[in-house]
Amino acid sequence: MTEQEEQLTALFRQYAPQIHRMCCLYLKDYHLAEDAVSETFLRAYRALPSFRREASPKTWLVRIAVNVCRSRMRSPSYREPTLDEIPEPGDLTDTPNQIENRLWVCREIMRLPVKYREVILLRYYQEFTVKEIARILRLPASTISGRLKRAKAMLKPLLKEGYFDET
Amino acid sequence: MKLREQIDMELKEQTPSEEILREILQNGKPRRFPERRLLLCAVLAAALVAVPVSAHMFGSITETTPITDENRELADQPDIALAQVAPADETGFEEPTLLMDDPEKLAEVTGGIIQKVNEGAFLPDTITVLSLSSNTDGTGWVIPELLTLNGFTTVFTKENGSGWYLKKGETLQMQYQIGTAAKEDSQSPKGMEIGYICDHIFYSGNFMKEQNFSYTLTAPEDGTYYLYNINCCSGKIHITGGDIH
Repeated sequence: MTEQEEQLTALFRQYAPQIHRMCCLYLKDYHLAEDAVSETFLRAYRALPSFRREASPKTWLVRIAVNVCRSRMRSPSYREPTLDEIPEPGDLTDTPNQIENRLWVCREIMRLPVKYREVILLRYYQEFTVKEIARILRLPASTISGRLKRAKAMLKPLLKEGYFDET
Repeated sequence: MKLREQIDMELKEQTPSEEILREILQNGKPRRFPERRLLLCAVLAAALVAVPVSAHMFGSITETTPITDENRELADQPDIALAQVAPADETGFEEPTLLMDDPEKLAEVTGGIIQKVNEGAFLPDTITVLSLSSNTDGTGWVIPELLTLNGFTTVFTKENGSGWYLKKGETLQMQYQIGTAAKEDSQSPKGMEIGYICDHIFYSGNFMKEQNFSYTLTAPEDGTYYLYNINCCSGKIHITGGDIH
């Protein structure tokens, strides 16, 4: 295995699961998410020789994944699924109530418009700072802060559960 | 429980297959849907054709743009018509470097005004350096009517492109109004970041949400200063005029 292949393997094993879950919530489609993960790591593989490590590998990969998801969403073939259309992962014997309970946080996040969904995912799932998110999304930090505030206001049920408590 | 832990629990079955990694390493190709690349190329080609057409039909802006009698219709355009299509770098394979991370290019784009971004500050890529004319009584510099979109940064200079030399404690004030044109879509306050550049270093500014912006810089040290603003709202901001004095 070459050094580049070893680096990609290490990055994939460390970051692919959380990037995959972020893409699931971003695109609201498990199969498209897998496709997006594939393209993210392909881009990373090709760009590894020029990766200057000015950003952390996680920031770099997430920035690629966000760009891939945005490209997918702009594609003419993409149609954002409604929540009813999202296939359920896991045990097919679950009753609808069990499924609803199991995915309730994810469903709340998937209900958000994409510009709010992405800042919530980057801040509270990937745990980036506002400044890091500003760099990833190439927007002013104050725009990110404003979107986070509005997104949290839209997620009142999660707010009550303490999911956004800063530690 | 943290949100992250809850999401991981809810989506625990969603883990990417190692097959993805194997296929990239073996073939250097995406695992599936390679035909999407062709579709993407077609979409890009169509977008490239569409840009000049839509720019001609609707008018679009790529940076802070002074409004004159010739282009006044731009101020009345809806945001969607003003914005360009997504930059090509978002669909390409190369991950572009932010301008703020490339001091050489940053200095080139800003005519040497910004050579470094202070730690913790964020400077979006779209920067316009705008020289201001002095007003008739010579007491200040006039900010003309301007149109900006989200993330557009405008750096103001004197008419000859120079900044303002201030001694520690001296002040420089900028004030301007927004959104009072007859056909303005909204007259509600809009968010902008206003700050300064001192001796070629860009510093974080203050976020304000106003209809009438007023910012006073009190020089923290002797040096050459420039003032800037950044559009932080999701749509356009129409600056109808103001001054620096």
